[in-house]
Amino acid sequence: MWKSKSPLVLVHRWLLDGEPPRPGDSLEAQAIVAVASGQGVAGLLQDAVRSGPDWPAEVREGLVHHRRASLVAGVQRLDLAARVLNLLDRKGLRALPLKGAALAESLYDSVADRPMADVDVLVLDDAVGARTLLREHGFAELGWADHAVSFADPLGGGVVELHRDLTSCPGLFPLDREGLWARSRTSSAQVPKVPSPEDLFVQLSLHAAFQHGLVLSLVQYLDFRRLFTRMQLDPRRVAAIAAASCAEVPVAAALRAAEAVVGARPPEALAERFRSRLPLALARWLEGRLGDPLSLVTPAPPALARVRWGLVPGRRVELVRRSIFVAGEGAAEPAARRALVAFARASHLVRRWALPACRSWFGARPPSSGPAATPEGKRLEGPPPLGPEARIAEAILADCLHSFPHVRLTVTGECMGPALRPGDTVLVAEPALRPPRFGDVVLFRHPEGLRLHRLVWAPPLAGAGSAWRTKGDRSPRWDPHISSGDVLGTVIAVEGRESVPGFSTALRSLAQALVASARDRLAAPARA
Amino acid sequence: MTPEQALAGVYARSDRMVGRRVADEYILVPIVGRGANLDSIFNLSRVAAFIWESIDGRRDGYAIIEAVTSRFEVDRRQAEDDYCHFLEQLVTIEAVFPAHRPRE
Repeated sequence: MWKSKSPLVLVHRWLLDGEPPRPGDSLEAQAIVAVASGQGVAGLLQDAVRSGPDWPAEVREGLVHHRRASLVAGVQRLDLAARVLNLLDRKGLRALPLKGAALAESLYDSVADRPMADVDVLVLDDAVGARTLLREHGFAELGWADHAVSFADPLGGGVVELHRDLTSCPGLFPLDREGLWARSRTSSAQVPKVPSPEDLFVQLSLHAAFQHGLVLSLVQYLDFRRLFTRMQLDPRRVAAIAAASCAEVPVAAALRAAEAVVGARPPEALAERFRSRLPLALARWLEGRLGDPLSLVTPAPPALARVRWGLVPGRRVELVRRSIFVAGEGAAEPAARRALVAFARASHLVRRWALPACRSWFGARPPSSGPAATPEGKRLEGPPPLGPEARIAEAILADCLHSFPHVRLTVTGECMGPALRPGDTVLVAEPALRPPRFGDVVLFRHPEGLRLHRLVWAPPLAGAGSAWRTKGDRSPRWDPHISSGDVLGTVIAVEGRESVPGFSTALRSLAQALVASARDRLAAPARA
Repeated sequence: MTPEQALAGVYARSDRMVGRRVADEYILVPIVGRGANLDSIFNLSRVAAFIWESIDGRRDGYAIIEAVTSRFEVDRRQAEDDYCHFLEQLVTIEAVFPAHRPRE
């Protein structure tokens, strides 16, 4: 029975019933580990199968190594958070860790069990001053979204996101900065202070519902379960915080989703307070997904626009307004510049969200993606064009890439091995932030869907305006031609790796493709 | 570094190395350098962890040995040898640096 299930189903079942998966062979065990790693629960899996007779010794050993690496990475991330918090504190700026950095030490026995790709710090005072301060201390700005700026650590190379608000569309969920600071607790671990359990819970809910459209990794859903089992939450205080930040609907939605996905059962008094807060339309939409809880787990595509729309009943005009008009960080911006930014965002929203959604809802046929080109440049009929769902998924992804400094994606195929393995998590940035170059692994539009392949013909080798070429490292042939506009993002890092092989691998890959192409040309007359 | 220099010296911990107790072990993790290089982390024994936490840029080796012998059941001579050996390793990996000149 176990063997017929996918690794994600097995990992999910284990988290629900506590019975570790029993792989049939080493390959299946490795697939489970890859999925567990992608879902952030490999450390917990190592603990669960420590003495399991069903697990091959070499896979258990790999898990031990993985947990150790995760521990080291976690200590480094927390140190980064602590350094940034201390830096801000010395300047008189109040700040608190968010999400993983706040959770790892309070909800998990070891930081190895709560991996985090970067650290998030919420600045409660002067956000512009905090940004300037980090720059002065050698932190390199990587990118910005409307609610956060990300920086590279000059020491360890980690990434810290400096938040001025909890979610995008700053101000949509008002932040009680004074209350948050007053309720925060001193920590005896690496970070000096953490938010109160009630604040953590509301923050997690907002993040899950509004930022991620209720599609999270399993470890992020586990945060809810651990919060309920390891912390004493005061339901009245939660209700007050949620009401003050207009977050009652996101809290209700997150509660429902977390219960369905990982069996996170809140104290009855807390559940009671939020049970009736879910608007009917959102409740119906959510119920439709709870039958298949994995539709709320990454890499499932989030229905971000649909969920956001449902989370703010009565405030949808404000949602649209805040999505289009980005509030500045305090300094007055020229009206013309603000208008230009607003126009760009509005057209982006229409192009990325409204049009695909209309096509999907009204059943219109999407425009054809056009014929695909063979490696020899001949034009052939390509595979069927992408369906509306794939186009919406692509639009959502493109929107996330546009709105955030980077987006995390889990690698699923093996065509990029050994550089990228199934289960690896890559950080992808949009081309405007990190222009693609020869040797980069890029996320691009392929006739059969989105792909993560390597650019083997692109600037500086390819001239301006010429077509680009991509190829899977393990594939002998290259993909159809693409243009620069087909590239949605560039891989900037792989979690847990020092670097991704680039230039030399691309040269080898290009040579391989040229040889394969030449062989095909030679073989073609013979076949004829 | 002679044992006398090690004992008389005052050392401070480098910001580029962080110590962390995890369950029943204590590890030293370098912060410099990308990624999690498992070859560059160090597991410390209880005594070594105590010494690491005692290296504070104020106390010299003699004061730290004093604290070690009052905390653990260890012979003073042995504690001094262990301290000097451990300090030498920490200096080698640049986990500590002299806070100021050893006293004359």
